[in-house]
Amino acid sequence: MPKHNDIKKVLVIGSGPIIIGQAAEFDYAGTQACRTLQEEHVETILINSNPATIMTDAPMASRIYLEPLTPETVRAVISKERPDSLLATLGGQVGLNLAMTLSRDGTLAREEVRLLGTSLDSIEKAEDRERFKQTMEKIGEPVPESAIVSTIDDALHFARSIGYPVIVRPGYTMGGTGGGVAHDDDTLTEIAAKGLTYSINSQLLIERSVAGWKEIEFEVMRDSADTCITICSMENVDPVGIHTGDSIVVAPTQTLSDKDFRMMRQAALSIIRELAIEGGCNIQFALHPYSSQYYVIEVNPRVSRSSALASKATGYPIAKVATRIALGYTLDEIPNTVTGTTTACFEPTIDYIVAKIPRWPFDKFTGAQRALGSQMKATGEVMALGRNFSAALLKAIYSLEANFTGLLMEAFRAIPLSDLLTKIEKADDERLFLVAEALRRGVSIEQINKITKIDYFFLNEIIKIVNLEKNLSQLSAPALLDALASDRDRDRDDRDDHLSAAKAAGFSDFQLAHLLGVDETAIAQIRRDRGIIPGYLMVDTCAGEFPAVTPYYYSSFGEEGENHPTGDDKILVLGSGPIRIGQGIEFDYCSVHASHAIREMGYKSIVINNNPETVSTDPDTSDRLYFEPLNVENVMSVIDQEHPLGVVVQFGGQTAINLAKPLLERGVAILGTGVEDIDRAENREKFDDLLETLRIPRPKGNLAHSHTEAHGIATSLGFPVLVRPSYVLGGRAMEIVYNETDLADYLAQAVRVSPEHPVLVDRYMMGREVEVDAVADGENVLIPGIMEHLERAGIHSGDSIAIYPPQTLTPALIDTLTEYTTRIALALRVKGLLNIQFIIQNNQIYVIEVNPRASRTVPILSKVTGIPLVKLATRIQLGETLSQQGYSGGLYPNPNLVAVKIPVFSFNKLTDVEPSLGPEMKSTGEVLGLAETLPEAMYKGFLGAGYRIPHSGDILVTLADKDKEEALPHLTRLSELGFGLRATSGTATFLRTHGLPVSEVSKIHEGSPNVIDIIRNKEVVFVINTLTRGKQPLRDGFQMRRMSVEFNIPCPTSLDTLAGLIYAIEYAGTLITPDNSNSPTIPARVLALQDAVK
Amino acid sequence: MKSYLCLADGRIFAGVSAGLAEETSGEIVFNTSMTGYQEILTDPTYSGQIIVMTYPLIGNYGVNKEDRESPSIGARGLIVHDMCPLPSNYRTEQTLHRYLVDQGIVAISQIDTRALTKHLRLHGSQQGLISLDEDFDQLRIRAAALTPTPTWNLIRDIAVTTRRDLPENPDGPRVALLDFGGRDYLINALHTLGCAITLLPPSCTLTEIMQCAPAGVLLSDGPGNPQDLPEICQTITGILARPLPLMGVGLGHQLLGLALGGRVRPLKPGHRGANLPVRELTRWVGIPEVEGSRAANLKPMNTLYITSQNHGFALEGPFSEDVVITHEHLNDKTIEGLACPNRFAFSLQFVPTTQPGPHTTHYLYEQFHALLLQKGDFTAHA
Repeated sequence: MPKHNDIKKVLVIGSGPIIIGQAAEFDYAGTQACRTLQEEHVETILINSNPATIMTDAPMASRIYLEPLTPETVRAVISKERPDSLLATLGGQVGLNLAMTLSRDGTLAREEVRLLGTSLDSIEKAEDRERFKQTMEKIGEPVPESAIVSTIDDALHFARSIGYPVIVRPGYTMGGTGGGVAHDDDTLTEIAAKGLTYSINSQLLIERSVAGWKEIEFEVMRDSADTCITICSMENVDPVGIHTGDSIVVAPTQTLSDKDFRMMRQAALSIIRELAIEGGCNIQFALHPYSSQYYVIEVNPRVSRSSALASKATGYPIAKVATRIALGYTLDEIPNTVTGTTTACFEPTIDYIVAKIPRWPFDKFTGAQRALGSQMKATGEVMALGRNFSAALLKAIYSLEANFTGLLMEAFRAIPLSDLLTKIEKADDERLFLVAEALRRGVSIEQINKITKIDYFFLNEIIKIVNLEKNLSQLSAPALLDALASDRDRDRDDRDDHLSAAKAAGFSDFQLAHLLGVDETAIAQIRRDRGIIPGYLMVDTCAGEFPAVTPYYYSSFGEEGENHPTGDDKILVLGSGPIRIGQGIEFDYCSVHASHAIREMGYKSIVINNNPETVSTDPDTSDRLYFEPLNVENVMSVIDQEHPLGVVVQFGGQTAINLAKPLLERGVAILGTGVEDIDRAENREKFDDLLETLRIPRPKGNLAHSHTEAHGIATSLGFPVLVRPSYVLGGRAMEIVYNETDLADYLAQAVRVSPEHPVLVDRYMMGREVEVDAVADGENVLIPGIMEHLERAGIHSGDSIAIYPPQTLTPALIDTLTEYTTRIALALRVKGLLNIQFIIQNNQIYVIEVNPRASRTVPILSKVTGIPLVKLATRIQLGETLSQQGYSGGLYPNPNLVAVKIPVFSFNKLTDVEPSLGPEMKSTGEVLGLAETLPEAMYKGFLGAGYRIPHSGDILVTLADKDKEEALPHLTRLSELGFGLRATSGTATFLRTHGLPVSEVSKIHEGSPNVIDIIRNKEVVFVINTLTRGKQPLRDGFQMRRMSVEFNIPCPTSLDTLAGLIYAIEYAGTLITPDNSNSPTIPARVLALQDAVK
Repeated sequence: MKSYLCLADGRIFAGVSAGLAEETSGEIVFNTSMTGYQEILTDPTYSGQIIVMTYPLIGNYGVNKEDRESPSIGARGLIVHDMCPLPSNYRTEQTLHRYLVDQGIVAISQIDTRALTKHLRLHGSQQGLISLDEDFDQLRIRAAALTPTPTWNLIRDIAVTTRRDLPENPDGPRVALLDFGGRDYLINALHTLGCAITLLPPSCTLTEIMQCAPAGVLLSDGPGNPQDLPEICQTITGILARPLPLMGVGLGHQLLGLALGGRVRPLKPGHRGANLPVRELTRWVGIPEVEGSRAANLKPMNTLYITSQNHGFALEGPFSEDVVITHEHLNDKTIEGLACPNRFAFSLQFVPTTQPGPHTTHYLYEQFHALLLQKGDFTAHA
């Protein structure tokens, strides 16, 4: 069946901000969808609040609404744009939930909007636990015994009837939010209470636990003609019990016999057929390790993180095909763009192994519970491909970018065996390395299997790596090097050669150097001399059966390469690796634009990256994609074969910029700002000298090479001081310390001070923070815009609410900011992008940081100013000037709009993490509020970030003494607006003294009902809690903040954030009419990006 | 132990012996299935062939007695990238290596199977040998001299040699199953439908077939080149002249096509894997009630199936009789199924799904079964 011809205008719903469980994979899916709709000449309307995405770029749709993803806003967009169809299965759970709401409330019928692809009934059959169970029972597919309950008592009753352990899953949540495994009545009571608050339909599923069974996934597709195919099978190395998003996953399945594989495949096909999905669908099974008994665990009737992984793992573009199916095409009518000659109607077969490893944020959240379970905690993931398991696994490990030496973690060598085994049993993010360490010490795989239930196959593979590692480290380095250097018959002896064997198994030069006690360059040199270089093999969906045209490659040692580099002029773009806090989707956005700009100029673009979720690793983005770790060895290997004219390092975040120097040392041309100048910006001492020369002030401070020095500097500056390691990413380990004791603690715990790794000690200035992005060509410096932070310095810029254009700065200050930025950019000879963070205190401007690369705010500024920053920067790096591109220097005039960036956090996924904000970045994503006025933009921003803006109700206030005076006007305003104030004794007394009505609440130790009960019972609409000094998590404040997070009640911890919230509340007040006075999210006026930015 | 694969065109791949440490030769073909190595090895239609598995990790779940397609290995050898020495599965009885040694099958691992696959794709399936001999010049000379084993010899070794009446379903409609080696899954499918089966050797005559008093004849799957078997085509022509339902699968399909006047041509490379898309174009929905209305019983279809296949030749028309193409390969449009309603005959290039179920190709067995049951009706018309 060809395309439905009555589809003319389609509304696409995106997935909103990046949070744990919903990340860049939906930008990839959404971008593919938008591009496909364009190819099909269908007008596209897009709504997505996430400005850091490719899909929200003006050319991606005819109208783009960077608006909050609430039913009200989508309704407003529908009535304004009058689309005839809605595509909702590509925007994650958010998009799906919105579509269900709009369908149920009659909006879609009233507005005559048809839901494309999978029907609402099918979605409900998959999503509603009871209907799902009935559907599965109808076709004889087993589901674990379960019951839907709405009360804790019912949960307990059912759990006792089937026996513990049981799994608790709240209805309609993503990433398993609020779920968990309960082993007894007590834990069930706790988990069920929390789960009920997260569940959209106030229901919980209590289910037999199949923890320890094999977790098998299938990506399946179906079209309207009922043709069903499986795209990819996946097997979780970590059995059921750990969320698949937190599991190491391999594709295809490795331990299933053909019989069991076919059984599961057939089950997957029956399920998608019965659900009548039109598009893609992910099905998860639990398979008993010692029988063919299985259960269906979950079905996602939409594209998902797994489908992004499956697409990149097989080369089959699931989202693209799903979009065409939604338009009415059948699978056999859709071409397979990888081969160019076959169709989308086939089951990909691959001739490599794919390993995915999650990237967790525990480096940022040192206090967080690292144990993994049914609640996903990873922010991102990496993928690697290999011709054997160990190569795929090790390459994935290197892609995590933490200088891993394979599976060997020196720190674990000191852990006593019993502790090691206990840690393994607890299953945290380091389990793989702990298991390797245990095996290294001779613990039997039987014992590890007993503890972890990890299949013997995977454990044997780990042992193989450990043994290879042992063999290598037992060799004497000089003897080995001699042997390697000797000129033996290569063809015959390669396989016996230790180095070749280690390389084929995926060992990196870095790891080999570590094991042999030599320098990495020595290994690289011998390899080159011996001709031990990787071959690049193609990801072609068909295991070589057909010639393929998609240039998507991975490396393998000991194999014949097939990348056949051309003699074209090529430019290499280094991507940004896995999504992590501090280095998110923004850098993928930049990498994609860089690749486009390179192609536009007539060069061939080559991208190296390893993140399967992203647009940059869509083979359509570049002329050649190398799916590889971003380290010196792997990047150099590509360069050695491709010989690009130069490498672009500004767009892949710190990952790429860190490679600039080592690449330059190896003779590679680094485009744009010189490596020496990058160093002048990043090296503290050189940077100080530069500012000195330019006579631009910065907060006083110095480098401390020892504890004594640090204390000395702090004393001379006076407390509080800002301390951090000298090279940082996203403010890692940055802290404000208020006294000698805190400083000593910090030095002891957070960092290791040494002459090579000094610590920065700066005066902490509580000023207004401003950041400036600029693009420079060496002669001129264009500043597209300045963003002013709502929160004063001390809160990481990534966690601050940022406003464009600045609202409180005088023209003189703006002139100075422009002037400073220009001077710094010229002095650093910046060619390309630059980001500078400033503090303004007492009308004095100080520079706090210069990043000689693309920043987090580049996508936002590109969108709100209409200046294609990355394109300009890329063309400059390739030799053009600003004026050749029609731009000149200086600050670009403000358009008539206000944009407010609001950070979004994933605290509800991370138990025990302190939700208050500070100099360490904690947010996982962001949204943009876009409007003509600040209050409206602020309102939209907060709505988009998931706040419910209350217009009445009580507010719980507990303030630190230092903040009370300052908070008074805000609280007075809230009181005037009709909010009731409730406060603990100290704050209550203070407020009463100042004439504000307040009711007093007990502190935790004062007995019930206390602050915690009030939050738990949702008696308040938000909580204001400012931080008392120190970070002891047991304090009342911490518990209140955590409780607010758990119960989804806004809890600003900065008075500046509160001020912004009050703006939003005031604005919302103006929208209230008798009709909507009960609505939690009053409709805002919607504004298309194309109308806002001309 | 070092071992070498030498192709007829002289290309040599070095690897390690992974089965019986001896020498073997045969047609080198690749299979793209990611699981099912044991089923593939024991599939008699691979007789005379050395199989290259494109998936690089083979042997992960070991080998067991249940999962074999026939009691012995059909293939002449196995070529893999990596052979798993420590399989993991609850049904594992032995390692693949042990099994190959026990079965006397030569195998080689540590081969760059992707390079080999692409070579076969570009240059076509060809003869080759796996050897421990390190004299490459000699190897090349010997490999170049290899000739395909005559199909008759392949079939003779794997098919039944005398008539065998299987004891199951003695009262069911009797099917004379002409065995070319690939019989086992057909037997299972027909038994499940309640048929009685008489197995006949490939050399059987028309008279011998008719002596079984069959309700229908099934031409089994098998290895090799159907052009090598003109005598069997003759026999099939004889069957076609009688009002007997006739079904062919795999080699049986090609033989039926030849008997109906078609030709075969070699594929480069063959279709071997578990992911081959087939489009059903026409379904033969019923038995003619009166002569002359047969065409009306053909229903246009557009259903797609993912199928398993193993063949190196494709059937081509034109056909001498009224032949309807019922199935085609979605990618290269080669004939995957045909029907000749006038002669109550139909055939499939792929292996119809033996497990009953909707939306699968199991309906083809059911179609044959329906023809068998109505044999009396059309015998009267014929």
